[in-house]
Amino acid sequence: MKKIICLMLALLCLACFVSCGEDEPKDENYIDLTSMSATMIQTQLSNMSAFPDLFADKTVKMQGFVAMSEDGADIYCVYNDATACCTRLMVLEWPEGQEMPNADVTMTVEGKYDGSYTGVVQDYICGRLTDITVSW
Amino acid sequence: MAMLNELFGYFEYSFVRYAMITGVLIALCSSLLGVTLVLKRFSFIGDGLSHVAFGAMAVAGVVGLTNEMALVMPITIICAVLLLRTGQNAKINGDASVAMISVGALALGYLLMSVFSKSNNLSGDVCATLFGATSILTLTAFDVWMCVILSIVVVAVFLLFYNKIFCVTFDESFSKATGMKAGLYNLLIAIVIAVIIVLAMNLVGSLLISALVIFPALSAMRVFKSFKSVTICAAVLSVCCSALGILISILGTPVGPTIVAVDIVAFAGFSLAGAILGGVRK
Repeated sequence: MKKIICLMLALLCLACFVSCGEDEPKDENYIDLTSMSATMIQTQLSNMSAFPDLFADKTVKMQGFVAMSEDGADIYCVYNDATACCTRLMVLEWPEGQEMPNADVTMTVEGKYDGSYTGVVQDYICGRLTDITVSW
Repeated sequence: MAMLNELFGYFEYSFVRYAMITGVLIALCSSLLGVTLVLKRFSFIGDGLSHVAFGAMAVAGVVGLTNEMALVMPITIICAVLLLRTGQNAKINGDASVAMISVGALALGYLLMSVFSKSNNLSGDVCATLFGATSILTLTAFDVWMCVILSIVVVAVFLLFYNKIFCVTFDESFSKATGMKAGLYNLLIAIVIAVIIVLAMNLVGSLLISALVIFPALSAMRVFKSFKSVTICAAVLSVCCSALGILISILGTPVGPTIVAVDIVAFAGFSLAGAILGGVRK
């Protein structure tokens, strides 16, 4: 009994040492959320909100529905989860002259992540994308 | 094949590897003590203590502690000790005291969070604490090392005191009669359970922790009959279910509920296997 559990523990410790590391995917500066699963998207967006410095100036591509602030000044790309409690927002620096989509339309947006921005919109911590290109 | 490639791709991210390590370690620890808890008829203690941890977390949030663990861990340990001690008291039965502390802590925790919370996303915080959400995927290297160290301590305690835990589990009166300090070992079990619960909150959230504790033990009991074989089977099964659950969830489902779903399927499989083997044995 003790031998088996000791062996299991040793294997787990070995796995910890082998697995722990900071190496990230090869293309570190491009984060394509559209090719990820829902869980991974939630995690990446959560990490972006928690550690904005780590994602500063990285190019982020994401898909979400369009939302606007009440005064229409700000436009957001919203990513919802099933219970809507972990909704994530991305504030978009909308390019001048760019046509505006209707609210609730699903759009794909690509832009640079602003690492210095930490905002709160309707109780949701959100990030900001600049130099964006959009399609819907 | 495409799905496997996608999975391997995700493992390039350190937070996915952290989640796998932490998930497997928590599953191992919870299953070891799960057998003891089920046999002592304290299956629901995990739920009660996790709600206590939720309440403590709310207090830590309101007070503004940066390291919530410093408050959550001691409060959960104290309640674990009280619950196991009160369980032996005739005035309040074990299940009544668990239910009382469970709902009380949950209600007070949510009340405090609602009234005094400084968080910008209250619903997100509550959701993450109750169901885990993506908590396990957003751990830092420090969290992982903390989990590794605590897991080693839990397994070491279980190994060192295996015989004593075995005695206290099956016949506390007899162990007392033989001069064993049963109260001391109950205290040890309570502390270890509290540590496991606090660790497991990151994995499946406070509402689903009981599943990690009871399903592997109950599944193993369908097939195996001795304490030793049930404990080994529960540990292996729990680790496998947790690893499989995390792998499936990375592909797009919520982590905690997916792990519990895998545990349920395993329980059904072991029940079937137990029924067939039981028939063959007869």
